[in-house]
Amino acid sequence: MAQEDILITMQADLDRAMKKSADQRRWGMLIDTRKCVGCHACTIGCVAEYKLPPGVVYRPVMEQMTGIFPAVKQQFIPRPCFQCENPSCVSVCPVGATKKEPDGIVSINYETCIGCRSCVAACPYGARTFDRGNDYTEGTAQKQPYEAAVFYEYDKAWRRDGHSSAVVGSARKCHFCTSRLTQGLLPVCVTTCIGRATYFGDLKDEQSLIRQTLKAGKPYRFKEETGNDPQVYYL
Amino acid sequence: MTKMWRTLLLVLFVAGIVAAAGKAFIWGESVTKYGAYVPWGLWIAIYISLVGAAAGCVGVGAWLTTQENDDSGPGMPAALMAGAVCLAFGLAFVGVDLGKPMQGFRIFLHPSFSSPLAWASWLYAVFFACVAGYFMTKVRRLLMWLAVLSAIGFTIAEGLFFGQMVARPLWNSVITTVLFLAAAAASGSALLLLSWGAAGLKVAPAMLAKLRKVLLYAVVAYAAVELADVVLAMGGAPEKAMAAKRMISSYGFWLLFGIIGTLVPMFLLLRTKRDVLAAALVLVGAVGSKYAFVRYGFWGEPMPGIVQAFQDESLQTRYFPSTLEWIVGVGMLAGAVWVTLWAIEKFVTPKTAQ
Repeated sequence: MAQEDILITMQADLDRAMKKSADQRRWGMLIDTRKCVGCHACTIGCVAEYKLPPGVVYRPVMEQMTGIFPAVKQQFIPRPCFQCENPSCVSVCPVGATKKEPDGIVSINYETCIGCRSCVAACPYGARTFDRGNDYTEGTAQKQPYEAAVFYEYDKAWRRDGHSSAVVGSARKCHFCTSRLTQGLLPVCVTTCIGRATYFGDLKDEQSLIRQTLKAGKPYRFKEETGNDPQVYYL
Repeated sequence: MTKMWRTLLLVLFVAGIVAAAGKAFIWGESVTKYGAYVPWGLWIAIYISLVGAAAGCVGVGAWLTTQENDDSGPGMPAALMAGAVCLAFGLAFVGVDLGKPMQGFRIFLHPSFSSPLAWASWLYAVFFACVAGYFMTKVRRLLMWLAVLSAIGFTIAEGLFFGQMVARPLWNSVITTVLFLAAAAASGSALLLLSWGAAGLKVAPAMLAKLRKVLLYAVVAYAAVELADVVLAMGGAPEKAMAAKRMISSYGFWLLFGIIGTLVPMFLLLRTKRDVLAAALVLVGAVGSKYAFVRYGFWGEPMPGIVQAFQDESLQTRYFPSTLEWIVGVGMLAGAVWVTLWAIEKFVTPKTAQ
């Protein structure tokens, strides 16, 4: 019998989680590096979903080589925001523009952010980038419509249509596709992953695929010594 | 200071203002070289240098005034004026550096006191209020000490802000706060000596002689704390040690801070009477060391392979200030000197000459 696509399982997990109140769920991610083929579909899917400008990336995929020849190993490490339990980016923000939401997401309020980049400096994972107001079509005859098109983050519609836009001059980062979650959709990096390497769900739900996969394997996290307690695990 | 020097400072200042306004209102971040992996650069280095110099200037000035019991002389008013101007210019650098320069006021309206930067901002406001009160009211001694306390407070807050960042091994140390206080003492003494000397104030000779000594001791103490910080960092985790090695081998550190900002001023203070030059060099050295501190705090990739993962000019670990950053940096520093001298002559000299 053919095995069910994990996307269908995770969709059911998501539907179950969304029925709970925000403080009753804890979003987390698990990335199985053994299944990641380094296609960068998640990176591109994310860039397209959020109309990300040059210099802003939410989910790069790093290529790492380890070992000594001939015992070498190549790994692809996708790096979203780790939505840390003790995020060092939150405490350094002088205006409270970034905060830990009840469901575990670390959010940015673009309207409050002053662009001091303290959070960018404080993130041990380089997960935050800075929207400098650049466009991919800069220096060309015409700015293309997609660069100023609407995108949805933190359940709000945003537009990068000039220096007066609240997004321009703000810190930016992955937010596990908050607006998609509200609509009952899985994050775009999860649905675009051709190797099905990214697991997403409610870490408080014992029945969820992410919890079961975490339990079955030997997950690890990056830079645990910082005390940030990241909510993204790797296998 | 000769008229030619003043004109040169003014021209540089105007160029700095024009460039800063261009960045803030027209060009935005496209004319800067900092990015995501090196989010701060020259302007933040100058900002923390000026904040330290302002705090130290007022602290040393108050201590000397009390020691010499010289309440009526021009020494302390000049110290407060120089400190206030320096701090104002330091904040102007942060203002230009912000992604949204016109939103900076939010730090006062909606502060988050979990951040030492918010404490510092409120203490800046207290400091300015004390300086204004000092010149406008008769409770001068109380306001002088309140200004000193707020200056010590914002220097500590700045040190804690940098020192608590676990993501930056070079900064993440209790010594960082001590380093900021030592830098404030050295650069503050230098600023005070420079402003007294360049403005030609008639300060009591005993006070001037004491300030020379304070400057010398403060320069030695600052160098010693820097050395201790570097030695501890070298013996620390590999990332921290490598960042420290990079920092000390940079021109900003060994040339500007080590030689021009420490050894040469020590020689000038011990063997010559060129106090003003020595003080100016100490300030140059302080900016050099803070530039190295900021720049190499961001040494190395936050995660291996991240620079190659998604390529863009602003997603690099290399950084060298853009032409506009230099114009604003040099121009506004020249402006800080010009305005300090102008303010001392306008508000301090006439009152104390009466």
